[in-house]
Amino acid sequence: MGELIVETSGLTKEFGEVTALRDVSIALSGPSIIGLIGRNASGKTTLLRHIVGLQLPTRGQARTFGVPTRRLGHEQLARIGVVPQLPNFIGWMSVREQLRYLSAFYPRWDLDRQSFLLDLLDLDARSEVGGLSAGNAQKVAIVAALCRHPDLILLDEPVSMLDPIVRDSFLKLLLDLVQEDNATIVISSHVLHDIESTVDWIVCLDAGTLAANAALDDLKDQYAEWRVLARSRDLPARFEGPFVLRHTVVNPRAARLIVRAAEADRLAFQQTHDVDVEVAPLNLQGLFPILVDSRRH
Amino acid sequence: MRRGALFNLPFRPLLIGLAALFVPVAIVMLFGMGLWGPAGCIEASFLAFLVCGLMGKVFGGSVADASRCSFAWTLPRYRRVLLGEFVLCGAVVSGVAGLIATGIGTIPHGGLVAVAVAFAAFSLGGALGLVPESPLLFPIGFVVLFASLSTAHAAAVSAAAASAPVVTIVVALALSALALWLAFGRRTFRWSALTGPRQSGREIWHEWPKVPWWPRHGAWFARRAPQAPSRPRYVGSSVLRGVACDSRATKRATWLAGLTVCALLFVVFGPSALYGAP
Amino acid sequence: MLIAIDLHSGVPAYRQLVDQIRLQVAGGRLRPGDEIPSTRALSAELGLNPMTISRAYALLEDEGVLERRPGLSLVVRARSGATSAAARGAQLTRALRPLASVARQLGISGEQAGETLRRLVDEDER
Repeated sequence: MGELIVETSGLTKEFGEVTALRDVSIALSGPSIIGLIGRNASGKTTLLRHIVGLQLPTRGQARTFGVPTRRLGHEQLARIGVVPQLPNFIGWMSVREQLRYLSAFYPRWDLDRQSFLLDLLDLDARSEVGGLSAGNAQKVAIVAALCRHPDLILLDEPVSMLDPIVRDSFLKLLLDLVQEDNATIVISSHVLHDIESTVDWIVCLDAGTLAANAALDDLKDQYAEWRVLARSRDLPARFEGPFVLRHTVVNPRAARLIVRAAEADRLAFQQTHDVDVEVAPLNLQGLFPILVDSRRH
Repeated sequence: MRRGALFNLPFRPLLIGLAALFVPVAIVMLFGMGLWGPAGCIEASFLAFLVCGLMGKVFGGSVADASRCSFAWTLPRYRRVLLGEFVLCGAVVSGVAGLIATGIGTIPHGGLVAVAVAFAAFSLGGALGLVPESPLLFPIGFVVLFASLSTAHAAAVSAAAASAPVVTIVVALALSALALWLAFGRRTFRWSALTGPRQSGREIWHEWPKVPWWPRHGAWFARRAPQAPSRPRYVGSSVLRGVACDSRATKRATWLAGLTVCALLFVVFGPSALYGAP
Repeated sequence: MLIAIDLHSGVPAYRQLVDQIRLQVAGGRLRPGDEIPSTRALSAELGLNPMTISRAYALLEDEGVLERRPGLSLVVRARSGATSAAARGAQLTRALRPLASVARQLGISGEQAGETLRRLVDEDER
């Protein structure tokens, strides 16, 4: 697809007895929008911190822009924009002063984009940073991260605290950034509905392990819900098949299966069991519990 | 603007200038308050060490507030710029101390020794404010310093330092380098960025679990640190307040008032302290 | 180009885009030589990830529905009568497959179902 931006191999992070990440190996290339999904405390924030070098792996390796994260220098860090979940700034400065303070450190600071973003996110530049609500503090973090045209943007739960109108404009903005800046965006969220419309790649974490690492479209192609209706005789109690992941009996002649199969498998299945199969595709909301669950089988 | 990485935090350049003028006031007063015999000089030098250390702690506190902001880690060369400006402040403070020591002239090479020792005090003070172990080290160091002020050991140390100025200078500079390396190193910076803002008004022992090598009480500690070393207390509360650094700029008027008071004290008590030695 | 993509459907967005463009080409709403909007323009219009659009366009190019003129944007490819008829036939088959399953469930024979279909098509045409 493009340049290899983030690469981890066997990444493991332990905090004493707790293992936050267990043997995570991914390779993300850009430009692209990557959705990092998972339940709470699944290791999403920890993974993002490893990408930027803020935490170091206990075992395994992490590389960003080809450089091992423990040696990330200011040239690489200047290309990364981070919007943390709970940002904090210098409390007594106004938003404008804070942005001006930060802009002095970067060679390219786009003032046009700054005013555009302040407008888009509906943020008053004169308000004092210390008195901002959590959502507004996050908006300041977004502006601070984006005004310098970073190549890699890491967003940790950015939309959960934005109101719906701003959320919508913000997600559309991400699409623009990918095209304008050729940026790679990693957006971590547990609100699947929002990011589904924007991402093209999914990295799913479950209790620190990698549950899925594929294009969203591929996942939607592979997984489906089959509504099985018997043609002549009652359905068997169990369906044998390597691709059958879950089986719910509705009545003796109808069942719901969650499968990971291709069209050919469906036709063969129809023949073998003498049934009619109606395919209902699964969106990200429907896929998520299966991705997280199937790893355990 | 970038040169103001530290200076633009709590202070304004004008106020730094004014403060620099009145630092001698404080140090001279402290010298004046002590006795002018050899014993008096020794106590005074420890007090001067303390003053410089506290100044370092204050500046180090501003650096800490800055380095705990979420933007600090990715801001290019931020660490380097903060270190540079911190060293500059330290140079000013130790320069003043050196001038005073030269003026008093009790020890050979007194000026240089004073510069080195003052800089060491400043750096150590700053380091105590910045390193992760600070909540443990700072109270210990403070107590040790005050306890030793009144013992005979203080006299012995001071006499030894005065009698071997070159060794003292070397040791002081080495300590400064170590303190600065610990305080402005990547490890500390990384820890600061992860820990987040200082929680004002909390007892100092609430900070102990954040120290990286704090003995793990097995499962108890593991439960307290699932993903991050610390979490702000109000996460999950019904009203989320914006998380922002605690550092509040002391208003200009407060600064000027404080400095005026110092100046008045100097004018009133200073001359008698300097010249009316018992 | 009038396209409606449901981003929260289980059907991948690129597949929806491919299907709809194919349908429009087969149905004549997109004629041979018509220009297809650029990835950027369509992304802005539909709020779609540009990767999705590129993938759809690449697939359609491989199938021969669209063609790329050197240095210019994509256009609908001119197809012979036979291929366009085959394409339309394929579209219809795809649309009718689930309905065939419904007919089987209702126990309606192929003949009866065909009769119903003929009636509906003629009715609506009038």
